[in-house]
Amino acid sequence: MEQTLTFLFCEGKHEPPFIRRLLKVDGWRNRTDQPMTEYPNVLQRYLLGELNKYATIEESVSWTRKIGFMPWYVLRKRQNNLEHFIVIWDTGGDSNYKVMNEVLKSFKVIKNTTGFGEITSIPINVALFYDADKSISDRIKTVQSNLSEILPNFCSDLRNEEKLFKQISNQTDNFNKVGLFVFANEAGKGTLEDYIIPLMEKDNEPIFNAASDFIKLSEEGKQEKKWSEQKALIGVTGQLQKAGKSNAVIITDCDYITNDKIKKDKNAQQLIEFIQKVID
Amino acid sequence: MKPEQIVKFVQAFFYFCGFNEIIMIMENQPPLAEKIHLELDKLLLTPNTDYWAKNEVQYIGDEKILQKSFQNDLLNTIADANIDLINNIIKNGFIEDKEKIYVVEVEESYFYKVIEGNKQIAALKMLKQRLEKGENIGKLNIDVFNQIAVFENPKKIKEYALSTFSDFMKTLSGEHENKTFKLLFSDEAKSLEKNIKNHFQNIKIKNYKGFKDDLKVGEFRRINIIAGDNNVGKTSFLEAVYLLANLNNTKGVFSICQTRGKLTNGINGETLERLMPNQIKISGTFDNKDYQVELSNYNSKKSDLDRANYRTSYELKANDLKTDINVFNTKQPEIFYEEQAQICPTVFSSPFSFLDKQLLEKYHDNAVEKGIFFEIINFINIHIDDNFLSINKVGKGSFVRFIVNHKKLGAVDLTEFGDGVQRIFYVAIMMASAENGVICIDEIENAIHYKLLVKFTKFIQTLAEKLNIQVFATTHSNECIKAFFENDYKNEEIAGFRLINTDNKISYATASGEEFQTLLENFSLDLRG
Repeated sequence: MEQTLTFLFCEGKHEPPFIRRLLKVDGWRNRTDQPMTEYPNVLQRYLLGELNKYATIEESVSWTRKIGFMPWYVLRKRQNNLEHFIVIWDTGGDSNYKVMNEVLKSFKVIKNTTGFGEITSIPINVALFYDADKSISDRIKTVQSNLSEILPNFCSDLRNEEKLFKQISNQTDNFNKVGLFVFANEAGKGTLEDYIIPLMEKDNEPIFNAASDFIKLSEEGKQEKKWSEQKALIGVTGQLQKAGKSNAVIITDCDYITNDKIKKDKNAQQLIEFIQKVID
Repeated sequence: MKPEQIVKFVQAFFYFCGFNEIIMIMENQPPLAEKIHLELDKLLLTPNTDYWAKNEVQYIGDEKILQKSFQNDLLNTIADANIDLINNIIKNGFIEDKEKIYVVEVEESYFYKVIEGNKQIAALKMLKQRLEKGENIGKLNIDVFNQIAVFENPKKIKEYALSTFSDFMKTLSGEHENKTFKLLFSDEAKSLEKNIKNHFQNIKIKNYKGFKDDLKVGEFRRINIIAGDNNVGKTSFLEAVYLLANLNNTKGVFSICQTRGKLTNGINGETLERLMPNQIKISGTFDNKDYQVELSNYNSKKSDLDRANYRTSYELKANDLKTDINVFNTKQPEIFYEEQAQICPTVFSSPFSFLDKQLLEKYHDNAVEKGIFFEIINFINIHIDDNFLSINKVGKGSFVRFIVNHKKLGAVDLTEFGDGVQRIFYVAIMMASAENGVICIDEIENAIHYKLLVKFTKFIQTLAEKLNIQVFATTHSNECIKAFFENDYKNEEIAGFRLINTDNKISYATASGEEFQTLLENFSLDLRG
């Protein structure tokens, strides 16, 4: 069965579990814990190469804990006689864009590698996920600045035409498709949490209202807020179900988000639709 | 034999005996030989001293040489092989000093051994026998039998019968005659390309050994690494590059015959014909110009050929240049051309072939002239053995040697050191002779420790850049391939080629520069397959 490979590069640690949760509803199966032998050949080789780079006794335990740049999840879905694989990475924020670039740079060469039989060239897609933060146009400028060397054609194609920004380019920069999805609200600002919290809050309003009030207590008397109220909200409400766990685990496992809610949520469906278009 | 050759002969003796210092002392000594006149009967034929320069010496004692039966056998053999010379003497007489005859005294006897000029002496002895039988000896003045001018070397030297002695003995016993000759070729062909920017850009092999299906390989860079399974054609590919670079210069085909045949001594026509490729058809683009070379085998119909000795002929065509080669059983091939040209200077380094000492001397001198000799010593000193102070050339031509001035061991022949040191030294000095040209290195990693590969590959790259050389190197070592990138020197100049044989059809896969590096480092590509 022919294979395709799609990389989803996320800005932070919370996108991977959220996206994985949406994709699970869409029929994708988690293969992260499976032996790498079932992965596409180029993915196997790449991951193995990364591990080998750092497998040395000369490094400290604390350093090896952060070993390489490995993906969060590998998902698989069989569709139309094709075996699709999605690999979800957390790029670690804007300042770490070079790590993502290294992965992209590596996989860019695969398209032209036809002669070496052991390295199987397959269609590779790329999707990038970022928060709009203050504005979509600022985000696009940052993306262009960070990625123009690796994805020059895609970056020059980027246009700020929609408030809810999403764009896909076909056959560009040695990839089958490259897409950008910016998390933003109707005002063209915002973050991933603008997608997560409405999903969690729906049918759980009393808990979220109370949590919100609770959070506001801590703001009293403080001049400057150094933390995200939205992240705090996920954390506070999440502790009621997954005590002691991180926000990433809460997003992955909490009951505030259900399959039914995902299927009915407009934003979630837009996100799934975007990924599907990148893969198709 | 000329006086200076006599000196070399003595040097050879001391060399074989291990008295290297005496050779050095003798370097500046004038040859010693005195002209005397002797009776022909006092002169003893001595087997094969003409071929002293060859290896595998075998000593023939005076006791044997003094035996009358041995002398008779020698006389018949040598004279039989020189009927033309005998007839010439009958026709024109004997001209003294035309070819000097050198002799040495046999101790405790009144005989002298002929160490050079056995053919002439044998011819005269044969004619003396004819005269004694009452036969006609034409214009030969019989005084020569009583007083023949020879040159005596007063040194007490031993003469050696060399490798050909065994063939000679076979002849005596009625077995076949199997004479050999040294395959000579010029290394001074005119280079057509001078200010080279691109070197080889592609090469198309239409017919050469296993390459039969128009394999076109391109996108060459400065450093080109060739890998693949055993017997896939890696060395043949290097040879194809080398042949094309040499155009109609016979150095191309002849040196490949020498390398393939691992020839150290002479060769005979049969072996040469076996080693010569029957067909070659190679083309390519070098510095934006198209070149092609074609070799074909034919039987010459020319009437002036030495038919009794003739084997076959070859035509070596390259663009509008042509060389014809007539191959004979027991003598040097005849070579005809208006001009011999090569695209650029090209050298071929193989760990398995005999290193021609005269070429080594030239490589050394070029390395000194190009100013890289110090860099080579420096490299060895820093990375291999910091006791290496210098390497000095001793002797000339066939007797050139490289003596290491070692801080702890003193003056030691380079051959006493490990194969790795020697390989690095030889490859490096060869590069000097490939300036503005091409070097083909077979099994580049051979004899070199893996820990040294990163430094060694960088050294090769820096020399290649400094001297504007394009490198084609085969390898069986993945460590060596990775070392070219790990040294982090101009990775964009490196290309890798894997030759693939599928059902006797050769194809290739390639990657270069950053892409090649990515495949190696991030996708565990093993170029060797």
